[in-house]
Amino acid sequence: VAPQYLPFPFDESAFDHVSTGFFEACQRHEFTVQRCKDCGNFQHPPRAVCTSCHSFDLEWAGVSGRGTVFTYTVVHHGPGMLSEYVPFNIVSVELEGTNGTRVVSNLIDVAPDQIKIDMPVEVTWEEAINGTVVPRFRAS
Amino acid sequence: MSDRTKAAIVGIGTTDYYRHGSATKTNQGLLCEAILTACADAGIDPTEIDGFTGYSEQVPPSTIAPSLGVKELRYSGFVWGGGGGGSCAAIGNAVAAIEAGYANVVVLYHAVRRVEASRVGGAGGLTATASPFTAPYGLGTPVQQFAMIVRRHMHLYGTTSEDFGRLAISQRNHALRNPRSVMKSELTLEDYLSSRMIADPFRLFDCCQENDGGAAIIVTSLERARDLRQAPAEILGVSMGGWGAWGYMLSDQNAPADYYATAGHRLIAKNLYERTGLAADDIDVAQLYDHFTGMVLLQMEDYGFCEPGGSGAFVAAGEASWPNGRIPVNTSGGNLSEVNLHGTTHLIEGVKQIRGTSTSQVENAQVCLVTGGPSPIPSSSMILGRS
Repeated sequence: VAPQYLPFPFDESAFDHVSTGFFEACQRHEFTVQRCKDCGNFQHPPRAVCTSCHSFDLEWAGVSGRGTVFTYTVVHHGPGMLSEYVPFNIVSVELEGTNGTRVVSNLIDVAPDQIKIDMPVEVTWEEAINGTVVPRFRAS
Repeated sequence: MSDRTKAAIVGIGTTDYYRHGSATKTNQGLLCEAILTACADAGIDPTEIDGFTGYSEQVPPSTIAPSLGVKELRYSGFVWGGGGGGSCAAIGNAVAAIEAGYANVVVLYHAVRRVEASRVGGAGGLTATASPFTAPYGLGTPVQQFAMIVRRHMHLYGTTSEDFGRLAISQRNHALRNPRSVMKSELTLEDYLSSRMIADPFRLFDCCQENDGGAAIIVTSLERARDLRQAPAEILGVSMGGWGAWGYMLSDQNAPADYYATAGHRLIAKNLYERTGLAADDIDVAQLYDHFTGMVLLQMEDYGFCEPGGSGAFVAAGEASWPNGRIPVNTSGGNLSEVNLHGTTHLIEGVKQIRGTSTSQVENAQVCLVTGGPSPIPSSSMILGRS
């Protein structure tokens, strides 16, 4: 198991009925995005209702996990318990095949000065200490 | 056709300004001192206060009203959200209460004593907006959230760190003329560029101070204002809100791409200009909420001081600097260099510009724009004018 980029700060009590499906798919190393079965709208983070047509009939659509960096920051100070992990990056990734849906994550195996907006990336999976699997990205 | 309000700011008051965590009074003590100072400034007996308006404030009117000897509370209202987004919205609530006849003398009050809170995360951990979709990736503090917006703006338009540094220096220069400023030393571009990185592209001097202190602002009708001690700062218009999708924006970074790299104020600005019948060209001076330098530049674009992407050049040309800039911005020094009380001091500096009493007074200032902080919705802004 690869070392974690950052610790996973939640236990199962943090997951509600809306978010559970995403993390269940992560356990299977499947990247999913919530999609409306009525109008096809993609949305992330998942919501209780379709933000486009207000349908409650939502599903987890498998996507490629490839995308591009929309924006990023490299954190050099804190916060809190994360201060021992600096510098670390945070990226917003625009996922292909999702009408521009974006997810927040980190890029691993990259030097801070090599991160560029629009660079192509792909998902990679990391297992947290408590067994939860989270998606991070690497250059592709 | 404009629809200007029938209310004005007639009293302003603050406590001393303190460095982070060093105020010895309680919040209640800071608030009573600020409110009584504002009442004296206005020439209003504190027992006449019959309304309270607030945002981001911990102490309720139930604590303050008896301390001041208020005879009858007739209105109280509070703006959702945190930080400085609701500052002008709280003034808007006061205006609405006065115009509806609910109250006659409404006070906005706010005190800050920073025992443990920090927006760069020095002492705090995850914020209230932390979710399983952001916190596992270390995203949870405002400096990170706004850094990501500004990094995208740099990519789209070529905005540079030097542009942010020039704004920090401009505001420091304004602060050095203001004896009340907490920051007392000169800031050079070299100082700025060598300051430590907090969350790229934001360095230490891109980030606002964390301070203790209290402030109060008194709003009443234009009719009553005519009989009071100070020349009224007329509230020409107030606007609050923002794009609905901006509600998730800072925690999830998911605003639509066509307005991601903004301060989230374009609609707020449009409504404000429509209500007042004014345009960017009419603004003489502006107090733009400055939690982070880059977000001040993005507000200049949202309010039409320049085209989208033009704010770096606007600042570099000195257009935001007193005395010769086209629209001097944050003439007291702002959160960066005067004091950070969540935007109450931006309202107060706006009033001073209209009264003609700023330490960096814009000559014959008739119209002052004031904004609340770019934030989760609602954010807000207003325009003050001279009679």
